Amino acid sequence: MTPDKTKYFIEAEASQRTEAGSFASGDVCMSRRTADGRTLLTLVHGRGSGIQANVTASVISSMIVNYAMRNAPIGQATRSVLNTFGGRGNRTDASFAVVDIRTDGTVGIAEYETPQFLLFRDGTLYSGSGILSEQLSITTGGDLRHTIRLSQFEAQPEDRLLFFTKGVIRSGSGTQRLPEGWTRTGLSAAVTEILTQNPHISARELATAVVNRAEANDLFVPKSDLSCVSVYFRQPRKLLLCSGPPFNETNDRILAERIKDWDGTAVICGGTTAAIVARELRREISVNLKRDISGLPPTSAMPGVNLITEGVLTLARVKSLLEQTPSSELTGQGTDFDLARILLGHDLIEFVVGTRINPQHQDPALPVELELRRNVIKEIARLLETKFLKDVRTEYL
Amino acid sequence: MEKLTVRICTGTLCYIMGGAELQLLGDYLPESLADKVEIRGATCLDFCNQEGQGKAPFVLVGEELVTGATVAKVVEVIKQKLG
Repeated sequence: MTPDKTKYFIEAEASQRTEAGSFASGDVCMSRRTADGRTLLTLVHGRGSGIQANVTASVISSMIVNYAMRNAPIGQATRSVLNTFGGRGNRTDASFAVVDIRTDGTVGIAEYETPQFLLFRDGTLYSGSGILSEQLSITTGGDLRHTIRLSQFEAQPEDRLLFFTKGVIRSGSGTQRLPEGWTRTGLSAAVTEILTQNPHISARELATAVVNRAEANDLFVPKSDLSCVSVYFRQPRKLLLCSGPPFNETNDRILAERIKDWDGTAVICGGTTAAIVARELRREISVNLKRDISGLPPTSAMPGVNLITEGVLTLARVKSLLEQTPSSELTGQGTDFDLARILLGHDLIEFVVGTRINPQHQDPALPVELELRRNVIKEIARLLETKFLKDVRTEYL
Repeated sequence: MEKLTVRICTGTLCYIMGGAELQLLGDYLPESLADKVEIRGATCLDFCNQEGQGKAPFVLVGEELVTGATVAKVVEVIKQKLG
């Protein structure tokens, strides 16, 4: 079953800061999307700090994710983890939170020794009866009893979930301003304030804001690893990218109608494509003749279309940018960066690819080798899907 | 007096065949001609797809097609047109 992404898109991002003096974080955040559309998230804190804690946390995180990917019950995964890392006496080697978000919006959470998650609905902390909770007791080897907190609820559009390590709510403890530390209440109040000021803040920005504040509480010398995972069930941002003239001219109208009827951001990559759409919809195109910093052909403007660029040269540059960038934040300037930013800023991306080839583009005497549009877009779609977890559809005309 | 329209093709082929420099046409136009000419870009004039039209880059000066266009060539045609 495919997720009902017309309702909302699940944006999950983490932010981390390492304890002062340590060069590796003892906290590990992992996110996976399964083939059946579930989203799995883990936040694991390894005991102590540095490399040893990081290795423990990484192993536990991988174990939990792999169990969950195989649809194993959470009890089985945690039992296995606790049998291995349950610790000695009353000391455990790790604490962790696991989140499993199903395609129908059901959110299942298992927490072990971590601060309880926070759910924000309509901008305020939600603790109503919509959250079903139970305790799961597990006895591992050596007769050690462990308690797992299980919670389940139905996500609503615009909900926000927040997971964090103890370091975050203990931040600032011992200082004159926050002798007891930030506390869960303090964190919740701070997030509510952020959401009031910026109701559509992205998951990444919110997680970063929380960790930044925790670091500031510790007077910018973090006393322990600080990690926060933020999930945002937001309205999907839809993008339609049309590139290439249709193989049969009879489909020109279909291409134009797609642009006309689209209810999101629309982009055209290709001069001929833009000319076809302008002709069919009787709209005016104006070319911006200013030289672009990227050295690419100029962009154009047409009512109802957010960006019009040249085709294969621009797309090939965007492909390279997406291949090379380590994160989804691009700071460069130029048409290629603008287009890549538009792609990364959307969740549902539909490519409509016209397959008519301009034979002149294949002339071996050309000073620049021009790739086939269809191949370039195929690679861009693959990168967006696998590297940036976008929902991508491609249609050929 | 109506201005003479110059349309520069900014399609892929024209651009890589030297059309990039044509964007600077306005800067090279003699002052005496500048206010008599309107320079516009075109997403693609589609001449590259038509047999026997000559080599890219393409520029339309009024109704006249300039093939293998350079700034100098286009300025020359504009001068002829405007007498």
